[in-house]
Amino acid sequence: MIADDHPILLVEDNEDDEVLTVRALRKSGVANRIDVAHDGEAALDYLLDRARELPALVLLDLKLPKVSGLDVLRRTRADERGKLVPIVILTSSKEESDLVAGYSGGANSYVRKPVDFDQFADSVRQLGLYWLVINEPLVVRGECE
Amino acid sequence: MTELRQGSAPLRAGVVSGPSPSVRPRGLSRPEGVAPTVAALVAVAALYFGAAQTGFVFAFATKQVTAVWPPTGLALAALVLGGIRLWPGVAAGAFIANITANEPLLTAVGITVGNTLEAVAGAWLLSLLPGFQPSLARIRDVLALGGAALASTLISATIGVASLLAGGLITAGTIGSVWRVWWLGDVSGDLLVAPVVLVFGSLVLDRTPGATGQVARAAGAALLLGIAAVLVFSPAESYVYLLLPAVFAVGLRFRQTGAALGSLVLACVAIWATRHGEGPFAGASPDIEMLRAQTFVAVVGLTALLVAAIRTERAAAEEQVALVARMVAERTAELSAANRELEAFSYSVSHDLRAPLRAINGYSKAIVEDYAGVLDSDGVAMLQRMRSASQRMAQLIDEMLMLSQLTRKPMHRRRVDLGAIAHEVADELCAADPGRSAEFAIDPGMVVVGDAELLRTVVRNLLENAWKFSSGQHNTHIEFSRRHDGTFVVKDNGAGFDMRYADKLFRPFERLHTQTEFPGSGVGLTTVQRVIRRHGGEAWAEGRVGEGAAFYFTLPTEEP
Repeated sequence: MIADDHPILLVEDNEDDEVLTVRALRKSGVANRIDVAHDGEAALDYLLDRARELPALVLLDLKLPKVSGLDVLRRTRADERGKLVPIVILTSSKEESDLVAGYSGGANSYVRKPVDFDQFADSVRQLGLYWLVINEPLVVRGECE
Repeated sequence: MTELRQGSAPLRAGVVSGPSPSVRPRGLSRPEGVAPTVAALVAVAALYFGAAQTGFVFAFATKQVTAVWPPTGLALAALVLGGIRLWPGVAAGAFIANITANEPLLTAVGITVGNTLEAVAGAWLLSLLPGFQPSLARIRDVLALGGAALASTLISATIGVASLLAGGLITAGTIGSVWRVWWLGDVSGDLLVAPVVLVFGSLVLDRTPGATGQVARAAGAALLLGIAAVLVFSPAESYVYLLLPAVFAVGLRFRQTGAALGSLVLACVAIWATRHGEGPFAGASPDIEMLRAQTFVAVVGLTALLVAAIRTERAAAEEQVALVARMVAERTAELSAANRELEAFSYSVSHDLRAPLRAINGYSKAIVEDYAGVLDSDGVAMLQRMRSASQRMAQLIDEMLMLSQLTRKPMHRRRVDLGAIAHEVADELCAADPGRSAEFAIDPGMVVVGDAELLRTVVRNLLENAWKFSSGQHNTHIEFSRRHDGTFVVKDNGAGFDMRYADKLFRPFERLHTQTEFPGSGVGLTTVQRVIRRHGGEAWAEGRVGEGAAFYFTLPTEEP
């Protein structure tokens, strides 16, 4: 349903969640390339790399090895270019402290992963639809381009 | 004690042998009460004799009487510290003191009996106060000493004066004044000399650390007080009250040691000056001079000890407060550490426990989708059950977290209208099940003070509970009211329950029905009870199978 040349960055350390999220995205017809960062440090390397184009969407888990998801969020938002990328927190918890920290850190959206795969797939489908199709992105090209 | 000397004969005599003059009420002897050593008895006797000689220093030249009789205080302190069994030492000391002063034998015997009885009675009276402390550290110890001093000395004064009269040493006309002087002299001995011995003896017996330095400083202060007293007692004008703040200050600073030494020094100066016609108490008949000096020194001694005891008790109370404050601080730290741990735990539960469930659920679904060709309908159904189970476990985890948060979230108390909440919940329930015939009877004006969000959870859980368990009825009737005693009740005409299991209702994850009868996780009523308890109230239930259930709760009444 969606064809775009911009990749989606999935920041996820859990391999099962990675497989299932990619499956759900693909089943929803998202055709974008999906890049995966397995920890917070890799995510920051990706997002703060000026030579690389920004992804169309970042799906960010909170509990991550090395650098936490909230730190990834804050440091990306502190970056001139990183301010512009849509970041959706996609995580297991709905702890109030996480919600508050997520929104005040500049997340565009906060989605709790449902345990049931049907609901999960539906959430991912709606996310893809909204952020990749309905929402009008600000296109920022990498400096090399 | 007041010693009355006529001519050169001290009117104290003792009997060493013969029938025991001491009264030995039951329970008097100390638990360790072995026979006193000869050395202890000799020491007491010698000290008594020495104190008697010192007592004559305070004698008033004119009438050969002494304002303070130190042996009385010494004997009392000796029997308190060493046990009443030391009485023969007192008797021997008194006997020797008076036998060397050539008085009629009968008179000497009488006086000795009186002196010994007085000391025994005083020590016995003090033993009546449970936990009397010879260190005089508490107000009650000082008051007990005062009481014992006033009472026990009546014996010696009465027997002594009678002995003098029998010996023909005084006339009937002077009985009153001699008795009074004798009594007050003995009282002063108990209030001025006994405290010094008791306090110092306690320091030695308790091996109080730093006692030597304390005594030295207190003695220095008492010496300064003595110099001040000499100056005050020099002029004839009465400036004696100037000494009061000084002696109380010494008592405050050096506690019992200072109070005992200071008032004794002050007493010595006051009596010595008065005897030599100096100071405000002089210039009257010896009788009156004596009375003035005695009352002054007795009152100063008792008050100084009281001041010291108040100071000590206050310090002990302050220590207690500091201890409690430390304990509270420690407990608070422990509690917040436990809370932090609990928070970290539930954070980790909410993040980590759900991920594997998501994997189980997701892969089961993936298998059904990708391998539909090799699975029969049983296989698909089993995978479906796995998915339901994982969902159910996720729900349990969420409810567990919710329960743990109920007791951690800060409460914001304000006025809450339970009836208004109940109407909202009832409307939602009816809207969700429009075909159902149901009526809600909700009392107006059920306004309480509490956390609005938490109390909403209570009302919602109770009404949903009633709604769920009365779903089998043709016509659902649910009542929410406040009874006259302030108890709230939610009553339904539903399935009810067996009272034998009433206590199970409020336990988390406990259920009385299967999922197929009535679905649920068993945390609703637990939530109700926890919230109500957090508000300081109680929740309980009554019911009968097939006849509905009633859930009661109380909330403490308080003004909003």
